[in-house]
Amino acid sequence: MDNQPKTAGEPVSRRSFLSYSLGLSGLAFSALLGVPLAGFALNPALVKENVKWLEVINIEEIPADQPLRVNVKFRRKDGWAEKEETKSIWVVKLGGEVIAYSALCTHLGCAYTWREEQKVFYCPCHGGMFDIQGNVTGGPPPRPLDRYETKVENGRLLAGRLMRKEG
Amino acid sequence: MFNQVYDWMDERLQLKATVRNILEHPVPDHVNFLHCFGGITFTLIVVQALTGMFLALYYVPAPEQAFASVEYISREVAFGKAIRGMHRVGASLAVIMVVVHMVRVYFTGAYKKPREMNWLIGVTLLFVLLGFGFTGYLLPWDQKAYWATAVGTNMAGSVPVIGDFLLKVLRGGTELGSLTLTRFYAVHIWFLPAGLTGLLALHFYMVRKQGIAGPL
Repeated sequence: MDNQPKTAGEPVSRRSFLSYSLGLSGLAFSALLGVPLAGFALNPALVKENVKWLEVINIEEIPADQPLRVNVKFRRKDGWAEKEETKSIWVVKLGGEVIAYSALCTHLGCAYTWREEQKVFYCPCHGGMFDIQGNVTGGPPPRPLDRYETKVENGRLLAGRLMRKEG
Repeated sequence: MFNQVYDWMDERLQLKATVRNILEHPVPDHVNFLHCFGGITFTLIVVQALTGMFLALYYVPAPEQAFASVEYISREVAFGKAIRGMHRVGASLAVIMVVVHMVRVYFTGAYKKPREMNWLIGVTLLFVLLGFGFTGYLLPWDQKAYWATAVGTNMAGSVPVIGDFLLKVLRGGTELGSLTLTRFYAVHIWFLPAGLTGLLALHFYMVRKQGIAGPL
């Protein structure tokens, strides 16, 4: 293979012309195969998930100033299958405001519980603690509890997209 | 930049000599397009290996899920139809090209001494490829796949004396079911590729060692 750079006007040898042509066709062929393969493999990371609103609970059933864990049943598309799954959501009524928290600790995603005597959400994995407003009061969590986007329709609380608030 | 890296590696591994030996190997004057069929088959096999690896990202070899996962590939995954199509059409093309390659070798007498062993390896490769075709045909788990395998395994069952045993080995029992699917899948993605790789290496080594057969 001739790796010497050619100056303008100098004729390209048949040999290097053929090597370049071969290299170019090889490249085209690889792209023809590689682009679909890459798209195919990366598909799950590239498709947009559409978030459905989940019916959580009747607004009246939420006690004031007292967190309540609601298990919400919903259908989820899991690849080629569709499954019924249950997801826990913590709801809190503070004054007039209703908040829906993700049931997972913002540290590493464990499920937490409400400790009534201390008035904190407590995560057993690494001792993370949050107050009723979701703010971190102890342990390693890097940010307050994640909240769901919420709306009320016909007296029912609906939870949508999960919002992340950096702390 | 590339040249510097290449020189650095060459200094340690003497790459240039090897590359020259492989890529700049002289080819006899009588070689023409009829000698391309083996290479075309190999290219198709490489495409089969690549598309197969990627299909395995989504495919599930279980009776309740196989068909659904194949449908998922075709309908929902980006380029799914194209990748599956390549694997499916490529399989037929590979078998066709092997036969064309064999015909060329036969009519140019290239199988004769000293190349008899490479002919035999080639014939074994043909059977390995047919094995890929037979096992792969079942995997979509649709009606055509199921009944083709029912018929194919029944043929094995009609072999005298050991037929019944063969049928049970192929199906993983008397009935066609989960065990048939998992065993066809395992053979398709592990056993046959292993055999294919070894045999191809031998096939190519012998071609290089013995050179291309002389003109007619």
